[in-house]
Amino acid sequence: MWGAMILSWLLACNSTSTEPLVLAGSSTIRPVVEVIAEAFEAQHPELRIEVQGGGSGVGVASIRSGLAQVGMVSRSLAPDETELQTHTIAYDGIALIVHRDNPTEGTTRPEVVAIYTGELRSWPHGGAITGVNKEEGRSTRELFARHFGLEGRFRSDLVVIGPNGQAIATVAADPAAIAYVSIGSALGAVADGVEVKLLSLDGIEPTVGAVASGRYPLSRELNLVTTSEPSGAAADFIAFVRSPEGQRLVAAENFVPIADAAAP
Amino acid sequence: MPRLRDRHVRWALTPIAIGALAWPVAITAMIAVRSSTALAQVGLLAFVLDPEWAPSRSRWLISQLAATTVVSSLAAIGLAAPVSLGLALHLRWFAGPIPAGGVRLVLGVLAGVPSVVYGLVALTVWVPLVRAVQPPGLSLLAASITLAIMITPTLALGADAALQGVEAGPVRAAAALGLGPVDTTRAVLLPLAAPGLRVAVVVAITRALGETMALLMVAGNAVSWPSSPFVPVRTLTGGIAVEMAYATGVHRSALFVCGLLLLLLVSLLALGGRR
Repeated sequence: MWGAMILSWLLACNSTSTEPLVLAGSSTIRPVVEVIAEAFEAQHPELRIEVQGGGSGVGVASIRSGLAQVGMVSRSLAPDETELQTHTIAYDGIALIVHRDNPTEGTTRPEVVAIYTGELRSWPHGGAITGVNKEEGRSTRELFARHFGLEGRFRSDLVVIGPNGQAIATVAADPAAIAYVSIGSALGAVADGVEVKLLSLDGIEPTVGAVASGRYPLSRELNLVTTSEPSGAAADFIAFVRSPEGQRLVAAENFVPIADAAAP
Repeated sequence: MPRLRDRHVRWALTPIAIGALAWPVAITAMIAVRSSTALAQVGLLAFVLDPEWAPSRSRWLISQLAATTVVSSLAAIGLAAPVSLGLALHLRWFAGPIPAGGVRLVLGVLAGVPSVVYGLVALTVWVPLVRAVQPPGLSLLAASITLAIMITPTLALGADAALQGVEAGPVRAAAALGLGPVDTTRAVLLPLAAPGLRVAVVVAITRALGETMALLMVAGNAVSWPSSPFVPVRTLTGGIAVEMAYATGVHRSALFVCGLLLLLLVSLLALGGRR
């Protein structure tokens, strides 16, 4: 009897489950891909899509090791990653955020460098600055550090967090904190009523429009990455993300659709 | 001549016992093998002499993470031990059997609460308190308090068991000589319970050393020396948990060295804590 039960169970599994399409990587891209995956699954009920986070570094590592078919990488590829194929799906920027009660409205390049190297330790309105840094292996950190020339110069007592959501939550909980996050994620959080605000950088407001036009100085591409020419479900999904329908969802999540971006 | 049934049971159980013995050996061997790349390419000296732990720039100061692990665990024991011993002594001398049973039940439940729950409580209670004293709040102090609260139930139950394990004879003799609870505790109970208390402390420190999730949530995870209670810090376990996601090559191997070091610390403690 047991044998028959186990056998029927195995058969049942076999008949219902197709291999899911697994995407992994950037916490910036993850929310928008989850929304698009839902729409895609609604049109293709036979397919299942799994979306995992971890950061862009995890995205690259996961497709190399075969744990995922598609990586999510919120930057262009590094020199040691050129064997991979990128499929750009949107553009995004990196904004500095503070608590909503912080009277500061904007910051400048020298101020950001001074805060993150430890030369500037208190707010003009008083109180020590809680600097929030991102974990290594996160492309938001790599781009931020490169843009401001900070790699190796970060003050050692910065609080270290992982995904964008954690940075936003940390700043929302601490009126003295400053962090840098994806503009799309930050605008989404502000729209949801989270107590954070975005600072202008060198006088330019971090808006979707400013990223699209190239005026905002700290922007980047959001990529889906594969080890070879995608086929099957992966190819279908990537095409769907880049289709007008997928790009509408990209815009709804406060990222810049590929067609709107001035030549980067 | 043992009965046939007993022999069958013995055959069935022997492989399990051998497995129990082989399993930790296999784990240690696996971790050692994975560590070998870093041990060979980086070398033991770098783990204590490099200027900092910054794998992206090939700096491998594991002792910085290890110091945080040891300091936070010792601080937690320092905070938890007096409370736990006090609780156990109260149960031994002053609580009636029914309240004492209730307290033991509650301690047993608390000892089993998943650490992520203690982390959540810490994030909403202890971190803001520490932040009010000195920002950022996510700090060595918040981590130590969290650990102390986590290990107190385990430590109190261990101390309680150690006190209950003391023979009745000497305690009755002390009572017959007219000694009250304070003198009996000092002169008879604590010396006789000392080996058991030591085991309780070892079990508690072991849990503190290995704790990961709650510390990830409250310690701030900055790679820095535990130089002040208010600095954000990263432990060995935190380093492994955070960095394993993206570490490759020598970095990945160095994280296995961290694991090996934890294993070593716990083993030394276990040996030192034997009765």
